Amino acid sequence: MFRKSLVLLSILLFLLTIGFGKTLQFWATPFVSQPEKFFEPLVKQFKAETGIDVEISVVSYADAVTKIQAAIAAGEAPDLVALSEGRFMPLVRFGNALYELDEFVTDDLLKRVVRPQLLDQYRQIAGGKLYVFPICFWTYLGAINLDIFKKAGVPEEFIEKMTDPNKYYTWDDLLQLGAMVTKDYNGDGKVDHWLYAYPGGENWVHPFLLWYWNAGGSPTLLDENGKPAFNTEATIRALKFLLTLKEKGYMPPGVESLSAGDAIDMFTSGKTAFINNVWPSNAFVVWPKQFKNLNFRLVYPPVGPTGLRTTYFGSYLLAIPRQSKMKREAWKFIEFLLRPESQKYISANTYYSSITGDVPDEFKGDPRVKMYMEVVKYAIPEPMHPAMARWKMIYNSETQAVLSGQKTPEEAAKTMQKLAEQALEFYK
Amino acid sequence: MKRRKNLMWYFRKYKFDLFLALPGILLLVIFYVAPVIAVFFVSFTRWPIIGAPKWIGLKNYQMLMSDRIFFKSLLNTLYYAALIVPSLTIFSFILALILRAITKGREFFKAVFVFPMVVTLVSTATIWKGLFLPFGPINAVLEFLGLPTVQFLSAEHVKNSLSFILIWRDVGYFSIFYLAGFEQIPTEIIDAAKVDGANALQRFTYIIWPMMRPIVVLVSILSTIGSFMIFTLVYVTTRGGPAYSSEALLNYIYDVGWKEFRMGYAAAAAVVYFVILFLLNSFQRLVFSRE
Repeated sequence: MFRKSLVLLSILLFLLTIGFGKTLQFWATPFVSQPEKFFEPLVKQFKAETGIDVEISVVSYADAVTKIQAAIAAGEAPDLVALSEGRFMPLVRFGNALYELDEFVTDDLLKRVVRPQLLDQYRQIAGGKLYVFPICFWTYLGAINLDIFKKAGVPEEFIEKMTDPNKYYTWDDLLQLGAMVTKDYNGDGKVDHWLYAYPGGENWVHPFLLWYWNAGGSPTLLDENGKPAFNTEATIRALKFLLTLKEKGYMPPGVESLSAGDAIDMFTSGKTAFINNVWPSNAFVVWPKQFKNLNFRLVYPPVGPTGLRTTYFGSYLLAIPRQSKMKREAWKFIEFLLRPESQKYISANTYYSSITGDVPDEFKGDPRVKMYMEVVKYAIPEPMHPAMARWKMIYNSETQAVLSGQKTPEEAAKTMQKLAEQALEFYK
Repeated sequence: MKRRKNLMWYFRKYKFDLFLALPGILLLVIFYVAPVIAVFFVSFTRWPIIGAPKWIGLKNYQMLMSDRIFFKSLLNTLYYAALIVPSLTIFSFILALILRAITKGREFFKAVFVFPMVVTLVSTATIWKGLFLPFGPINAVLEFLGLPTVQFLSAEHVKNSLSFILIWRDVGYFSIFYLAGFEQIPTEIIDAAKVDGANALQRFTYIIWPMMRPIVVLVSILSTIGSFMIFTLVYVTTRGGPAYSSEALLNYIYDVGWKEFRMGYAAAAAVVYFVILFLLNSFQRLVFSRE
């Protein structure tokens, strides 16, 4: 009897040491509509293999850093957190709150990563150490509402210019398009369809940057001397273009206070003809399911005034807080997510690009997937500066000031520069 | 010779009462007094929340003095207070008078007007945001009636729109305070005034208003504090935009502290906010006590 108990106890202790019975706390940002549901099969499989459970808590993108920061300050950090390029550096810079992943990353894994330069960028900004690891990435394409195009009589060649990778359309073309599609379609004497709704009231990273980069703005938001690059030709060009769209009436009234969701709603409800921030899960999963009458087509980004074609590049980065008591187990879960079959599952269910290039077979011939992969060549990752949270507020507010007629583009660019430099004082 | 009553005398006399109150006092010190002292301390430091604070003296206050957004949010907050406090004080008084005059179904109307206060401010703000959208229901109605549409959340109108939401939400609640005050006025005095030939205006000026003054003070102080706490409404509807047009001081403090990791700077702004609110309330008390 005593021997049997001893054997049972040894087995129990063995299982405990290898991880059975442990629960990882994972704070996931909503890169899909229901992350906890999305990860469920992966978590089940992981638990079956390792005995480690993963408890997922969803934190919004807007509050992710705040909540992680508060949890770290309280000494109760989760074991795994999802971040983005613009969000991880403050956690590294202040309090060295994230754990270095270099000791876990093997050469075999590095060989499988399709964009190793990404990892180099993450290392470079963080003083040579790797604090985050992507499990998937995505880019933005534009989209047009084909019904509005048809009603407005937009020539087929125009659509071709927007959808053929070997052709291109410019900002001038967009203005021309604005003149064609902005109309009173129901005949009540008031304009009811517009070209584009800029989400002016939103404090997201990308809406302004999409135009700023397209106008030749610095990918890192810094000039060659390491100073903020806001009082530049690119900023003024981008702001002037947005202002022109507003003044010509090609944007709906009130864009300066439209949230990102409101702006997307304007497109999905058929009020605007063009949108420039369509991420894959919207294009492939959400819109076809929720807006069955929306007749849209994906388009490439425009070519800006300096001849550049750019778009945004985002990734789902996982990091392990230094306070975690289960760092090794957390890394095991990251490794599990990087397996070919997990990567295929992620791609198949989100349409985001696999970081290891493992995609379901049906993706290989899909022209829309090809379009997303095509723009990766010139997609720019979210700037990773620790001051990004402040800069984001600065450039968004100044764009709002221009769109609401409070400032000229030149004045706004000057203010952006001044405030961005002031902000650096703190982030030195 | 009269014995001098010092602190020790009071302590000896009330030591048992103090002993009984000790748990409450301790909780008050831990959860109210200590955090306020901590905020004062943090305001002299550079502290990104994670890690230890670094003493920097008055630097945060110096930076605050040249911070354009801080002053804009301070002015916005004062604007909210200037609009909300008198409106709430007057409209809730008027509503209370109307409710008082209603004889049938008064309880029902009281419940209807207090209802917005029961709903969480986040839900209220979300609903109003939807109503205020450029293509929202209010503009649809205006358009249907052939009236010009209004950009309620534009830089020009956003502060008024947000103030309106807060007034709409709180007016019923504060009217209950006044109604309770009316109940305290002895009907004999009113009746006597009527017998003496006082008309409605005279009864209001010489009897009702002076007797309601403590309630007016209470409502104005509570609504001042409420208007300074407009945080949730701004956070949900506009996040302070467009271009800081609706940014309130609390929102700025939150953004600076929690979004930008500048807790010391946020604490300095919070200290200024505390001083302003304290002065304002003291001024209100002074004005009303003189009257």
